[in-house]
Amino acid sequence: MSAIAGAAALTVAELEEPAVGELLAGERLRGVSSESRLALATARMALRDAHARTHGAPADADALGVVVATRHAGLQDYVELFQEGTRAERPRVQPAKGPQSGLTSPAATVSIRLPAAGPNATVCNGAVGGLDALRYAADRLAAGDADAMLVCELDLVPEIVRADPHEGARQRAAVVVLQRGDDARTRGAAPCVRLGAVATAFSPVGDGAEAQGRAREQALAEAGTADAVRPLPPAGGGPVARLADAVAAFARGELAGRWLLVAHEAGAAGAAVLQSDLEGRR
Amino acid sequence: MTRAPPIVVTGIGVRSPLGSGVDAFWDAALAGVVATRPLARFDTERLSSDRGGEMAPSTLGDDRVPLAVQLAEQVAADAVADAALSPDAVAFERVGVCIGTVMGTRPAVERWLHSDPAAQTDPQMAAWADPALLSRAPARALGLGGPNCVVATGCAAGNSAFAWGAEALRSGRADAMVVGGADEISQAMLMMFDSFRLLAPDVVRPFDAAREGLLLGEGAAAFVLEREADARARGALVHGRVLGWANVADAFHVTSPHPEARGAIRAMRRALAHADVEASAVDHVSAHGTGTPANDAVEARAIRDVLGGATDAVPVTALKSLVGHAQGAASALEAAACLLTIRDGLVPPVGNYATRDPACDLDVVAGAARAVPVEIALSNAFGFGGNIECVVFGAA
Repeated sequence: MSAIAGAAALTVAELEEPAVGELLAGERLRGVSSESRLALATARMALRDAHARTHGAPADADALGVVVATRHAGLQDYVELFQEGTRAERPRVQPAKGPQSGLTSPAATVSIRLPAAGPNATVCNGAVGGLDALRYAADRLAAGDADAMLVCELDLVPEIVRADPHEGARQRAAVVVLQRGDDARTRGAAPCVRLGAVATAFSPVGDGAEAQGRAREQALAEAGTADAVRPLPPAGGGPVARLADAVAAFARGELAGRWLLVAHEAGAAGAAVLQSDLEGRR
Repeated sequence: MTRAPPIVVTGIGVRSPLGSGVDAFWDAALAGVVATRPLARFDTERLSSDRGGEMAPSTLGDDRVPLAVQLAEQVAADAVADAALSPDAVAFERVGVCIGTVMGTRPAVERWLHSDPAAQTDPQMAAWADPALLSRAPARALGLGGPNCVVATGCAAGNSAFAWGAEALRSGRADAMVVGGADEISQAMLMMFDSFRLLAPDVVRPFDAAREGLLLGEGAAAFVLEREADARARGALVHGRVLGWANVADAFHVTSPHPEARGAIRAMRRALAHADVEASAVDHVSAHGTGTPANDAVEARAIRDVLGGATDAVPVTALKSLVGHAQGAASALEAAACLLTIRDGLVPPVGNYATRDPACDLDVVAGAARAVPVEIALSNAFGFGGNIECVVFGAA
């Protein structure tokens, strides 16, 4: 079972605040997209939070991995690159813009700048992508491929698709730091939330209710807890953002026990079982 | 300790510039057919190269649906048919889909922008802009209800889909997984690689002393993965095994590989360790082999470092010389070639190879396909941003 060692969330607007900007001090970020900057700043903030909770850096570079859930990373840069390149009077594109136009640019930026040379992936599954990312991170830890995983969710909607009907876009990034629960305990650390299980499913027909039910049942079965699980209060943002909020609430003592984090969209559905780590907090 | 259940490939589907369908693709690959040619769908007037590996016009369907989505649906259907996967044999709500991609559906957004600036506020364009379509559309078409997602690990994405699918099977989250990669050429990517001065003027020459760069390609390949015991129990034909995989970040530079191949070496070693295969047991390497001066030299160094003294006896091929760099589909197409190489004992040639480069000191298969028994094949895939995913395939 994985433990949440640290968490952070930031909005694009907060990047302008001096205390947040300090997280990127000394970086040469010319040509780096705002979403990659946001991912990097939020990752650093989450690592600081993890450092405070776990009495030390969570992993060396080769054992620190990154997984990003996103729907639109790089799309705005892609559109600008295309428009710049096809404009008759200025047909050449800036080479620096190319790499920022990809879905992978935030994960790459975080891995290069931290550095984090462990597993590195980007997953796209709309509102459920954050749960896929959590599952991937937990798998990497369980397999011993990493000692810590940064799970990042980018909830940004670029101008080009502002007509996007999906809810919850708040121009925000959220990052949680996952570690093996046993590792944290060995160091006398105090991660306050454990990730009991994550499951996802898909409904090829209908509104997705059937997939939601299957994902929920599978997550509960895997966590070995069929009852005494309450749904996490609904809030804006994707699963990782809500998890980051929950970590703060658990730490403040406002939440305790077992909770179910669910997400669904267009037939895709997922569920995660969270559990407070009261033993670890004592 | 419980041994992880072996994962096998029971179905293959391919759409590529070399041909559509496994047989057409494989026959052309073995013949060394170079499918890069002048591009028909794009304005190449201001580019340093007008070539690429484009799908044949006859394969293009409804242009209101992103080509990559069309291709993903087609190869998924072919793979499921090849596997003879039916709801009678496997509950389709336990069959998932994971598709790797670089561009997702962005080329479709590009077409909308190109044709109609007002499309920027069209809700349908927002829907096409969602890369998750690549895995959701095949699942809807085939009625598959298992775990479903798109993985975007740059040009390593096809290999990553194998890893994600195999792990879903090993953990029991699914009973079969349709995995693969799909991508299409886009004007923006042509312009981007042109701005890097990485486009080859004529053809792609991986590991050749005269290599000048890459050409973009497109296509898709999909595979049905199952736990071996399940596949054998239902009498499925097994094409090969997925023995091991590893994903790491180079964590060095957004477009350049680490000059000492640090990430590539780690990924290859970890994949072999995960497969429980000694480096000396590798019979064949399917290289990432883009044909760029930097990538090929670094990859050659990595292969030699990992395989050591055995390197000279390991035939290396690079499919990108024939189809161009098909981005997220590249390593999926290369996986198909690896599995067919293992099946037939034939390694397809590196196209356009003429002059040995001392910096790429490998046994490059040149001129014609080489007959050699292959039990273990290592497939490399490296992406911009430093994503690296290596997969080890084995005989059935």
